[in-house]
Amino acid sequence: MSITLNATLKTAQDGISHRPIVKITSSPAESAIPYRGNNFNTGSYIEENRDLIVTSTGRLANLYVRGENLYLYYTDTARTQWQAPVQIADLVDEILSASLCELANNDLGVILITDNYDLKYMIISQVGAVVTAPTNIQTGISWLGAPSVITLANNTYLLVYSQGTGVAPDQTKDYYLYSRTSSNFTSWSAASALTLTGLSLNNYKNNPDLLQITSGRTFLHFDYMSDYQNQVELNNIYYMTSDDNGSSWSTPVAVTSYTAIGTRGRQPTAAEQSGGDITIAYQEENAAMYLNDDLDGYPGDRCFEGNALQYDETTKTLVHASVSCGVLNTFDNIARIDCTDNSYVKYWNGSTSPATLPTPTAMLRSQHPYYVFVSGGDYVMVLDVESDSWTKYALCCAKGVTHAVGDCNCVTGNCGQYGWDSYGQIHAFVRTVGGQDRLYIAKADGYTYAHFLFGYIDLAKTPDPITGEYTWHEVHYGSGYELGWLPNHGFGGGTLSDFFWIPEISRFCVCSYSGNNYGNYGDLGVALFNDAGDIQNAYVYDTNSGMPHGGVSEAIYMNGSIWFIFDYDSNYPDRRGLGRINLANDTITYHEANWFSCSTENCGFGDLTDMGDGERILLHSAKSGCDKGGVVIFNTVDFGWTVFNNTTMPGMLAKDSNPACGMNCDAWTAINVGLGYDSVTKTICAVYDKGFTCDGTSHGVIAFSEYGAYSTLKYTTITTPDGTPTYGSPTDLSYYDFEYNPALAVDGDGYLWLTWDHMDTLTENDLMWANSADDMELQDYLDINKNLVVEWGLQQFNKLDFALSHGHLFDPLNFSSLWSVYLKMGRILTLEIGEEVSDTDYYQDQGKFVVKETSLVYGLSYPGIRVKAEDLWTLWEDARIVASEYFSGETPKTVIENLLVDHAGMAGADYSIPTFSGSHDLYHQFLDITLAEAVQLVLDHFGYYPFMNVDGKFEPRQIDFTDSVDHTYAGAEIIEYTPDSSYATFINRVIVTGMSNLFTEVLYEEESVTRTNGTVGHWGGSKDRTVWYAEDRQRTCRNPRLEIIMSVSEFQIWGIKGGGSEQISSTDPDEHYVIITIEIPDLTGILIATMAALVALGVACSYCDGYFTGWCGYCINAAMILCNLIMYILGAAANYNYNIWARPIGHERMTFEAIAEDVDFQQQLNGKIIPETIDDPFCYTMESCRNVADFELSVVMAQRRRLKFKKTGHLMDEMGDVLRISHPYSGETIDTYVTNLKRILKFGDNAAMIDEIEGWRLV
Amino acid sequence: MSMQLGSYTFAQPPGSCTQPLKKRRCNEIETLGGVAFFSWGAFVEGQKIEIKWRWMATTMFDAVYALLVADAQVVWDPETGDTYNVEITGFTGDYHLSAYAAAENKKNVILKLTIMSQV
Repeated sequence: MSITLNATLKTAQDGISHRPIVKITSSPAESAIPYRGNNFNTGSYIEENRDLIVTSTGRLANLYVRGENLYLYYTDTARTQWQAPVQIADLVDEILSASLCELANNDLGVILITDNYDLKYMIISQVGAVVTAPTNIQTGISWLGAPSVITLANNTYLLVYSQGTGVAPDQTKDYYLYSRTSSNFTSWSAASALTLTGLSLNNYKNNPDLLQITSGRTFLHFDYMSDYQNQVELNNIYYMTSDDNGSSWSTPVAVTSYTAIGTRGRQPTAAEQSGGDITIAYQEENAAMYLNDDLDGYPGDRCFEGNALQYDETTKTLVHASVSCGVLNTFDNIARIDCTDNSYVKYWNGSTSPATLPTPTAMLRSQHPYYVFVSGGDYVMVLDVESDSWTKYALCCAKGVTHAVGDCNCVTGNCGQYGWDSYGQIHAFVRTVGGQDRLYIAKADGYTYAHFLFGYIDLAKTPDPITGEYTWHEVHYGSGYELGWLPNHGFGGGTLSDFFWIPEISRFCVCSYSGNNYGNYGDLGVALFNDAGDIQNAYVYDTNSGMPHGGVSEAIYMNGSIWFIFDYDSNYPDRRGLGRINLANDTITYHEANWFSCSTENCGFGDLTDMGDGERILLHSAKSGCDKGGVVIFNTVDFGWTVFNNTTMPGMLAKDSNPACGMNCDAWTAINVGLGYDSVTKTICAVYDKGFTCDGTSHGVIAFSEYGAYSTLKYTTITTPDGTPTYGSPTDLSYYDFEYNPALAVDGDGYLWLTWDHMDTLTENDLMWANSADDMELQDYLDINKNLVVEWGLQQFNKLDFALSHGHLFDPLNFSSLWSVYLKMGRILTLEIGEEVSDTDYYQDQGKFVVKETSLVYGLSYPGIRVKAEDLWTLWEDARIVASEYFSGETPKTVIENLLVDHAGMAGADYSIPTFSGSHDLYHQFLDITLAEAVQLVLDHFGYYPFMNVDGKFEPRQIDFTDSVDHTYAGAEIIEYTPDSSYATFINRVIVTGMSNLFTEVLYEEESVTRTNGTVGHWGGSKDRTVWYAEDRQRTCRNPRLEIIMSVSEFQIWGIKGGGSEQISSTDPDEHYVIITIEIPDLTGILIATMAALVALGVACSYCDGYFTGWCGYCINAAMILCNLIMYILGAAANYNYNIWARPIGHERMTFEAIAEDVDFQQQLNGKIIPETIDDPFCYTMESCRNVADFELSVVMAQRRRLKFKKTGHLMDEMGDVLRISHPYSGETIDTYVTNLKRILKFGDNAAMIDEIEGWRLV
Repeated sequence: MSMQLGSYTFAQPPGSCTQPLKKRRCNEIETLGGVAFFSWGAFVEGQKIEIKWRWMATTMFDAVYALLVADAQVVWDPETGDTYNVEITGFTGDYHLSAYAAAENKKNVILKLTIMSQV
C-alpha cells in the first residue's frame, strides 16, 4: 500500500530533476480560544492590566499598573518579543487607571487617574522614555473612574472618563461620563457631559472604551450599575455611537442583560477586525457557579438534583448523586463532572451500561477512582470512574451459604449470629494498604445484643468463578457484651453512623448514633480500633459524661482530635454545635455557631469534610434550619468560623427563588459526601437541593470561591457596525475563572491580541497575553546547514528532527518572546513535503508530530534551536491504565477502539482500526499497563504493527509477507545497497504458550485431605461423624477414602475384643464433607441389667446372716462381681483415628503450546535448537497459538534476510510498502518489505531528498 | 549618484564589489545508475558581499565604521536598480603610513555585508 500522490506531483517525483519544497506548521493541541494565556513574567507582583494598542510601526504597547506605579510592555516592530517592562510613572499618589493612544509623531499619549482623583496626561516614546511627565488636566474631583483615550482619524484626540459627585457606588451622588478633546494632547477642551438617556444619574458608569472604526464611526462601550442590593452591584455593558468624532452620541443601548444580583458584566474592550466587524470582550462575574440540569450534554430526561457529591482535587472529578427527581427519595442517577471545565462526562443508572443495579440508596465516603454506594442492607457497590465499571458486592449470605439474591456475587465470611442481611446498617470505604486497594465494610445488627464486624475485600480480586464468592478478610467480629463498648441495646436502638480510617493515628473510627428521635441510651458514641481489629478507645456517655447522650452522627479526625456532629437534645442544652474529643486527654468540648443564636433550637451541622490543609473543616450549617443555612468553615486551630450564605456573600444564591432559605433541605443518605473543596481555585462545591421540603425549586451543585466572585472573559462579534450594530451571543474568551481587565487590539496581520490579568493568589495577579495566531509556519526558519529527518519504523514512534534559526525567539522558556509558544512541548507539528512544478506548489502530508524536545545553546554562536518531535503514540507511552474495563468476548477492533476512546480521549476521526485478519474474540482486562503496551499486545497477537499514517490518523497495519510490489526502481534511483544482519538472531524454534479463557473442572491426585480422631465408650452403637475437607468448609473433594490409623474394632471388654467397625457412609452432594459412621457394641442394656441385678441382690441380701462365712459372704462376693462388671462396662472405651484421602477438585484453565520450527536453519546449525518462548495472553486455543508461532517464526526468519539501501526520495513510499529493486551486481530482482524508512531533506549546497530504506527481502 | 549604505553615501567609489546575484541552492546526487538533481531555488538572501577600496579617506572610514558600531540592519543601494537590507558583518583597513599622506587615509579597506532581504 503506497501513498497515492497528486498526479502532477507523482510525475515530478518520478523524474530526476526535483524542486523540493517543505512546510512545517505548528498548531496548538486544542483550539486557541478560550485562551489559557501566557505570562509576561514570573515575578510575584500585583499587576492590573489597563490598555493595549498596536502602533503604526507595528509595535504592541501595553499599559499596566504594578503596585502603585505605571508600566509599559512593548514589542519590536515585527512583534516577536516583549521587551523588558519600563516604569513610566512613579507618582506620590497611587495610579488607579490609565489609557493610551499613539500621537501624530509616533509618541504615545497617556491619560492617567490617581487615587486622589486627579486627571493627568503624559507623553512617552514607543519604548517608554518619558517625553512629558504627568501633568494635571483637572484636580479636585470627588471621584473619577477609568479613562479611555483614542486618536481620531482627523489626528485629534478624544478622551472619555467617568466622574461622580461622590465615590461610587453611593446612590445619593450623581455620576456622569465626560468627554474632552485635544489637538496636541497637552491642551484639553473643557469637560462635556455625555447625554445618557435612560440611565439613572445616581447609578455610576465606568470603564469607558473608545474605538473609532475605519468608516469613521466611533463606538463607546461602558459598564453601568443598574441595581445595588446588600452592597452587591448589578452591572451591564452599554454602547453608544458617534458619527461626528464624539461631538454627539446616540442613546445608550444595553449589550448585556444581567438581571440577577450576583452576576454582572464589566470592563468592556473592543477592536476592529480586518474585515470591518468589531470584536468586543468584557469580564463576566458570577458570585457562584451552578451545576445543574442545564449542563451541556446532560440528558434532558435526567435530573441533577443535588443530593450527594464527592470531589477529587487531583483529577478535578466530581461524582454526583441525584435523588428525588419527581418522587421523594427515589434514586435517579449518578453523574460524573469534569471540573476542569465543568463539563458533563457521563451518568449511570439502571438503564446505562454499566448499570447501577441494584438501585443505590446511599453514597459513602470514597477515594478516587472508587466511589462507594450501598443498596439497602444487601449490597455495597463500587463505581470505578476510570475504568467505567460497577462492581457489586452482595452481603446477602450467612456464613458458608452461597448467595441467594439476584445475579450478584457474594461476599462470605464470618457473618455472625444473624448473617449479613439481618439489618441494614452498613458502612464502607476504600483504603489503600501497601498498594492494595481495599474495600472495608462494617456491619452492625441486633436489637438487644449488638453484633458488629468489619473487614475488607481486595478490590483487585475477582470472585471465584464457580462459587461466585469474593474472599472476605475479617478484621474484627464481636458483640456488645463481649466488647463492653457497643450499645447494649444493640444497633437496633441506633445506627452504625460512620466508619473510616484515620491514617495519622492508625485507627479505625466507628460511630454509633440514635439522635434524639429514637430514645437515648447513653452507650452510643465513638470507638477506635487498631489495624488488627482490637478496640483501643471508646467514648460514650455512660463512661464519659461529656459525650452527647445520643451518640455521634458523623466524625472526622484533625489536629489530634475527633471532631463530630450530632443533633441537639433539649435534655442536654449545654451540648450543641460541633463537638471535639481531644485524644490527648479524652476531654469533650463543644463549639457553637457564633453567627446566630440557637439557644432553643437545633444548631446542627452536616457533611464534615476535610479541606486538606490540616487545619480547616468544611460543613453544611443548620441543615434543618433553613434560615441559618449555608456553608461554614471551622478552623481547628483558632476555632474561628467563616460563613458563606446569601447574607455574607450576597448573590451566592442568586438563582434561588428563595435564597434566604439556605441550601440543603432534602438530604439523601449522605455521610460526609455533600461538600468538596479545591485548594487551587479555593472553590467550595456543595450539594444544593430544595426541591421538596423547602420553598424553592433550585437544585444541583453550587460552587463558589474563597477568592470571591468568578470572573471569566467573554467575547462576541459586532456585525454591521456602520449600520445598526448587531451583537452576537457571547462565548468564553478565557479558560480560567479569575480573569480581569481585558484589553483587545488587532494587528496589521489581522490577528487579535488580548492582554489581561489573572488572579494567581489572593496577593498576586499575573499579567497575561494571548493572540489568535493559532498556527505558525516554520519552514522559513529552517537552518539549511542541518538536515530535516523524518523516520518511520515498525517498532518505534514516527520521529521528526530539524533545526531552526531564531532559537532565542522560539525558546519555550523565553516568556518575553511572542514565538515561545510555537515549540512548546505538546504542540502539534504538521509536516508536508512536495515539489514546485511550474510555479505551483504540490504538497504531500508526511504526518503529525508532537513536540517532545527542544534544545538550543546560548553562547557566542548564533542560537539555533533543534526540535525533536514524535507521533501521537508517544503520548500513549505515558498514559497508564490502572484497570481497563473487562473485555468479555469483544473483537480486537472493538477492544482497541475502546482503549483509544477511554484512555487516549480519541474521537472516531482520529483512528481507523481495520477488521483484523484472523480475528477472534478477546477476554481480557488490562491492568497496570501503559496504553501503548496494551494496544501493542493486541496488535502483536494478530501480526499487526501500530502505524500513524501521514494524515496523523492511527491506522494499524498487518505484516503481510505476501503483499504485492508497490513500487519498482529500475536502478537509476539507488545510491547504496547493503545486506544487513545486525538484527538477525540464531533462533530457529518459536514456542507460543497460551491458556483457555474457560475454566475446566480438574481432579488432582489423591491426597490426605484431613484427619479426625476421637473416643467412643459404653454408650456405643452407631455414630455419624461429619468430616469437612477444610476448616473453612469451602474445599471440594471427590472419591474420598478412609485410612484407619486406629480402629474402633480394637474395642475391648474383659480383655476380649468387643468388635466394632467404621466406614464412609455418605458424602456431601456438594462434595464439601464426608460422613463416617462408627459402629461399636452397645453395652447399655448389659449395664442396665447388671445394675438391676445389683439392686436385686441388695434386696435379696438385706436380711443375710451377718457372717462372711455364711450367706452374707455369698452376697458380698456377688455384689463385688456385679460392681466390677459395672465398672468394666463404664470403663469400656475405644479410640479411633482416621485419615481421609480424597482427590481435590479444582478449576483450571487449559494451557496450550504450539511450536514452529525453522528446520532448514536447524540443519545448518548442525541440529542445534535455539528456542524462543512467547507467552501470549490472547491464545485461547491451540490453533491460535499455532498462528502466532508461525507468524513469529516468519519474522525471525525475515530478520535474517534483512537489507538496507539508500535511494533518491520518493513521496509515494512509506513503511509497509514492498519495493522492487535490482541487485547492484547480479541484477537479480529483490523485493523488500519496508520496515524502516528514514527520509532526509538536505538544503543549501547539499540539496537532496534521500530515502534510507531498511526491510526484509521477500522470498 | 553613488553607492549608499544606510544614511551614508559613499564619498569614494569602491575599487571592487561583489555583485549581488541570487545563488542557487542545488546539488546533484550521483546514483548507481544515473543522477538526480535537487534545487531549493535561487536566493539572494544570505549572500555575502565584499566591497573593497585600495585606500579611503579617514572621514569616510569613520562614517562607515559608525554604521558598523550602530549594530543595526541597514539598506544597501549598490546602484544596480535593486536595494537590499543588509547586516554589516565586517569592516577592516590598514593605516596608510607614508611621508605624503600621513595617517589621514586608510588602505586595503574591506567592507563585508550579508544580504538579509531584497527591499
